[in-house]
Amino acid sequence: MLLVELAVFLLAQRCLDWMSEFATFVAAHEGMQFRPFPDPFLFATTHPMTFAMRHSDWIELIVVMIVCAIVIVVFSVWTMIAAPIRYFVNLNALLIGGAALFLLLVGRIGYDSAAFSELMVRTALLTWLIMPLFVGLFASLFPFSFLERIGFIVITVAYDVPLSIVRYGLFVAILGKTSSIAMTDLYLVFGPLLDAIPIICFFSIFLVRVARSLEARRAVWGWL
Amino acid sequence: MVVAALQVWTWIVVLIMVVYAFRHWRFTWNRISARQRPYYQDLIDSDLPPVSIIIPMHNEASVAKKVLEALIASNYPRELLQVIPVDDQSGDATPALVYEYSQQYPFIQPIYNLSGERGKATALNRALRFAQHEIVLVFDADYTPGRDLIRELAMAFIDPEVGAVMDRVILRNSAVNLLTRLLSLERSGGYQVDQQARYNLDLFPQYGGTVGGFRKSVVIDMGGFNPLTLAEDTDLTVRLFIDGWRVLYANRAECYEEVPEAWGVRFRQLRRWARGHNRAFFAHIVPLLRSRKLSTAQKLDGALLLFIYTVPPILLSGIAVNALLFYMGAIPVIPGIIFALFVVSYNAFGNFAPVFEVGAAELLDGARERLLLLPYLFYLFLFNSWAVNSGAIDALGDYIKSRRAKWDKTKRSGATRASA
Repeated sequence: MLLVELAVFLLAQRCLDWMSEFATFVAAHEGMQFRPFPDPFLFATTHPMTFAMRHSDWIELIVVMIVCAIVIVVFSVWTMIAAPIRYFVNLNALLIGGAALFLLLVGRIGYDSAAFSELMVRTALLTWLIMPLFVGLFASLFPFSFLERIGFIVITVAYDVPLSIVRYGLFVAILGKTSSIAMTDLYLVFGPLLDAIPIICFFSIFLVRVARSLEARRAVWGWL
Repeated sequence: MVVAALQVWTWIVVLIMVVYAFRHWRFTWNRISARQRPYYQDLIDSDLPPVSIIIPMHNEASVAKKVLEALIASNYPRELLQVIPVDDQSGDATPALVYEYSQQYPFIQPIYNLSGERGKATALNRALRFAQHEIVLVFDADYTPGRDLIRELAMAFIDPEVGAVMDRVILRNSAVNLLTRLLSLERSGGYQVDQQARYNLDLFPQYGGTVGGFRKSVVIDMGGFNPLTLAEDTDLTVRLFIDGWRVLYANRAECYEEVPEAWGVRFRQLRRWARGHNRAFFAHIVPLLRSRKLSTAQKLDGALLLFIYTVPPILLSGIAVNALLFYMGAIPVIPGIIFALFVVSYNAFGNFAPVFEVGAAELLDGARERLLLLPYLFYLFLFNSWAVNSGAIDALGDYIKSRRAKWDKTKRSGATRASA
């Protein structure tokens, strides 16, 4: 676990640079106006950016709120679709509709493009740092071999780095096309929440390996 | 000021998640790595005690035959058995079916509640008056006891300190669809790890009410089952512990249950559990913490157990607060990340088993490919949260208005499948 932490510490700056390079590539490809700026955070220097976002007028905000309300009503009563999917759609609609209402009442959401970009980059770095500890805690419970333990932690973190990079670029592109209405939903539903799901996916894969190896050693089950 | 208050609430939510995660981490560690406390099934020298078995039934024609046949096939001596099916104002063929069995087997002695109050607690109270024996077992009608089950449960009462015992529940219909498979994972974590670890650690194993047993005199002395509650099992567990009785968990005594196969049915079941459990929380939290017969660890575990159906509303409030903080541009990054990690990893809110606990349970059960279903538990998160939140709101309304909750019976699918 500490070895992986050390590796994250050493490689974080390089990964953050890739993150920023990919986002500028996407922004340039989409023809957006953008300007990266340095932001020292913890032990690294991140490069979030300011980028042009569309402005939503009050008519658009009201239309978004009405559409979200319709979606919520439809998905609340349309029982042909499995309930968890309906709840997930409704959560997204609620967050987008809520953001539209907030924009209508207050005039702006707390994060502009620069602050959102900074939040995304900082979140990515902190997630890479917290993840090995979290995954290590999972792994400590189970009879993983040393290599399996290291493999589980490394693969989970290694998967999260490209996920964070691609997601950040995608968010910049989406926000450039839409407006800050989508920001809350993107961060809260598809942000750090999404990082944790691969942990469980890899965990289940490694656990199957452990189950197979334990099955081969019948003596292990003697106490049961 | 508002922002600071919301940020503090985020930290509190994270802290609650950390406390529960640590609790379940400890349970999992105990189950995987620590010494296990044996149950009483190896006792062979005693005479078997006579046992009364109560089966509350309301429109159970589709499953009643199965449970009665299983009891007839039991290896427990029939002269020591009294089976009391309680027909609780059924509108289907349940009364005729139990009557038919009672004509063939004298130890099956049904009672019929034709009018007045109904509900599980009321049915149990009525049946207790007819129970001839001190040891009383209760089976839900959709459960199928194994041949040895009665013996394994009854033997525990040789210990005079034991007030109640609960067995392990295994799903009979786990392979029907994704919902039943996921419920199977949840149940596995809840019993194989959670209940057994609490038994190992001498904490607060729960009498589940669906399959278990208790001493008749103790329950009668405590005033019987509370008809106001929808969670008579949690209610009884806490009252027994407060009075200094022990509640045991018998992991190797297995019984087979049918779980909901439709989302709507599951939603109503979970909502009812949350409603009953939260009422038990309101009613018992203070007496539990003030009890002089419990250790500090037992009080803490009991409080966390009672509080468990309150966690989803708190968690949902955490999501709402995070959204509000985001709108205001003040989301705290570190608790935000920790919150997200815990939301995903601690998401199986059916029986409140985190993913690692479910994984450990499946590992102990010898599962392999089934473990690949673990990520799908996240699929249940919002659904379970919403159902539990609805139940918590109902419970709050019950408590404030002192109103009586109506029993909403879980719809069975057994008959449909059997005929198909």
